[in-house]
Amino acid sequence: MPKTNNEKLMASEVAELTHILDRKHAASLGDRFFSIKVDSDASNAFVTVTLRNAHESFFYPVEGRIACKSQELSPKDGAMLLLDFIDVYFEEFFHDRQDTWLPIDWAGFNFEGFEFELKGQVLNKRTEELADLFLDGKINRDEILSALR
Amino acid sequence: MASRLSEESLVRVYDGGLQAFRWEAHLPALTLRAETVDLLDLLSLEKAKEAIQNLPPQVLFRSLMKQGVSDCLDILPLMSQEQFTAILDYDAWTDGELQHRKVFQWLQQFREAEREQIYTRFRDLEEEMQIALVGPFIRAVDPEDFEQLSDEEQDRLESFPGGALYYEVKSEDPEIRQFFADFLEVTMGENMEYAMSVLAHAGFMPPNEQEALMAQFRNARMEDDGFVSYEESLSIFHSISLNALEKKWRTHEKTALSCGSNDSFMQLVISLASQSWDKPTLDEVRSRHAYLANALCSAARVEPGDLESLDKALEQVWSLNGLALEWLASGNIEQAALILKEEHPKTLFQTACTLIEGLRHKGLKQLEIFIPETSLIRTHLELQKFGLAQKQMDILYGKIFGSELTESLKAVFSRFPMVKSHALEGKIVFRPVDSLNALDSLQDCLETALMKLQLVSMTHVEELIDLDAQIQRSMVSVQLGGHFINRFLTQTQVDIWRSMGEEAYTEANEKLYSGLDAMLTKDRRWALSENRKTDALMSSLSELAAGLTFIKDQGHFDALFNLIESIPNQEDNSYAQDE
Repeated sequence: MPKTNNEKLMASEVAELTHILDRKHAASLGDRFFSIKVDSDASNAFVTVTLRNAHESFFYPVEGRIACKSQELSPKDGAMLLLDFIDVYFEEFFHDRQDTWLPIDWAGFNFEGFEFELKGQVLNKRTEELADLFLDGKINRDEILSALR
Repeated sequence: MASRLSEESLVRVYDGGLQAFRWEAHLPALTLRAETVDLLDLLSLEKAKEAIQNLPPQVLFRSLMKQGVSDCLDILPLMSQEQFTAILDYDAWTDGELQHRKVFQWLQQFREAEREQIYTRFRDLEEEMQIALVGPFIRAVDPEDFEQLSDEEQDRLESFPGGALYYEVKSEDPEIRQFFADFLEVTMGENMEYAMSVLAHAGFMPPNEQEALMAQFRNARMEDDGFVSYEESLSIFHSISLNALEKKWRTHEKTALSCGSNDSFMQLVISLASQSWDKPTLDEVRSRHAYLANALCSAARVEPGDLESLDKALEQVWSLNGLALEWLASGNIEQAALILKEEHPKTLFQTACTLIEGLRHKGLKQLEIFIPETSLIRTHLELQKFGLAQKQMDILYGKIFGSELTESLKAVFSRFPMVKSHALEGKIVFRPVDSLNALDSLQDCLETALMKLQLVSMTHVEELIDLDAQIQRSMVSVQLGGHFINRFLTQTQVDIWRSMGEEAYTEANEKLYSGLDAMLTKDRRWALSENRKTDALMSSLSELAAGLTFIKDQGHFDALFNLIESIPNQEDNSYAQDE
């Protein structure tokens, strides 16, 4: 990835990392792709790597958070550590025939001597959206079936 | 801070050739690995232990992975120690390095199945393995040295009964600490002498020595399954002389059977083979292909425990061998089945590699005429450094050909070459080169790039950048009655072009196509072989023309002006109607 002296990940660096993630796992992705969101403040870094398809019928956000200051990491290094671990996780996920799951609530992990928390849950936002529309009376059963076809 | 998500890691992925592209294969089920069994069914047998221990280790491993180890815990105590050693060979090594945590995870699963198994399975591992597993994590201190330590240091150490030996777990990793806590608890209960011995021995051994020994033992065992060394794996991709094979097999007239069918050539051959061969022959051919796929893993940077990538390697082997069969048998299915039975898969694979390499070599030489920096890519490819070559293509070709054609070119020059199949959600999906048709597509891809370079070279452009834009501008020039020349349009010319009626535009396009056809026929530097039909190439020009029509009809002039503005020498804004 591009080298900069910034303490935070730049948007161009995030775009580059997303490209690399997409590439590394391209053969396993099918119609899915990755997106990355990075937030940080003076003490903590937050990262969300989402594997999803265009219709969001597969939507898998893997979220990570790390206390950087207390572990003597810069926010950028903290975010990179989370991204590295999430990359390792997705490697396992694809190698394991997509049967390796993370806890749905925050759980502690340790990687390269640093502690952080992760959570992840596969969602089908497409059906959730259709269910909401159905409950609001905006679509009927046939329209749901046709939308899912 | 070093990152896994680096350019270097991307080069590595490119280098393997199996993972960096979206691709799909359509192979008959018979060609794929079917080596899994229902382990829970085996458990219900009267002689379950015997049945499980008779399974080849790869079959047992694949079955455990498929069904989930935690769902098959009752199987674990029944497997033989040889099977367990083989499973660790597949699953607990990455890039030639022992993954201690993986071994500990397996041993913990044994403990969950039967408590004492964590001890017995560990004890029955090779001695070097035992030391390699314990050495890096245990510090052992004998009673004499213990007395010399400060109080603080003494407090950190655990003691064996009677103070016979002191030790500490050096890792802060909770999973590793938990493993040693569980392992020592059970082992001390089962065999105190052994527990002390293994800790003392491991604690005093020089680091890494035992692991290096274990790596040698493991490599030797893996070669029995076909997982050969990196150098040997690379050598499988080498071209061979095809003269003897041609003389032996290419005796038939070319048949059109394969071209007219929806099935791939290999599907037709396998379908015939499954009807006419006996099962042992079919199994033998399948297992030889699986063995070859294993042999490619080292070059493809696939670990033996990565089952998904192993399957992909096997798909590539069958696909490329399908190409070799179709070529050798000239499309004759019966002849192809005979060749499949008689020739070794490696010979077929190298035949396909040779056919493809011939085209790639020609293509690169031609590209080098137009783009001299291609020589660096050629050097990387000659050394089988596919990762570096593809990275260089990204840098060099991206700005010239645009992302889509560059991606296609990269796939052509991948370790496992592939051609475009279709687009999915805006991304290109590739397919293996499994037939002569696919080989033609590979040639089309190279020739499309060369043809664009050729056309642009005829417009006397100094800088090769964004060829599509330059060709489109030259096309507009012809549509306006001028030559195929890449100059900026004036507002008046844009207005004239925009107001062209349908009939005039169709007529102008016909003139454009016949002119381009004549130009490409006159100077054939783009062509990689004689007598090639140019339909595919003309269709790529049609795509560019269609893009122009869209711009014209929809009034998306921003797109056109953006193209124009991106070209240097903007002061020269004239347009010669008839130079």
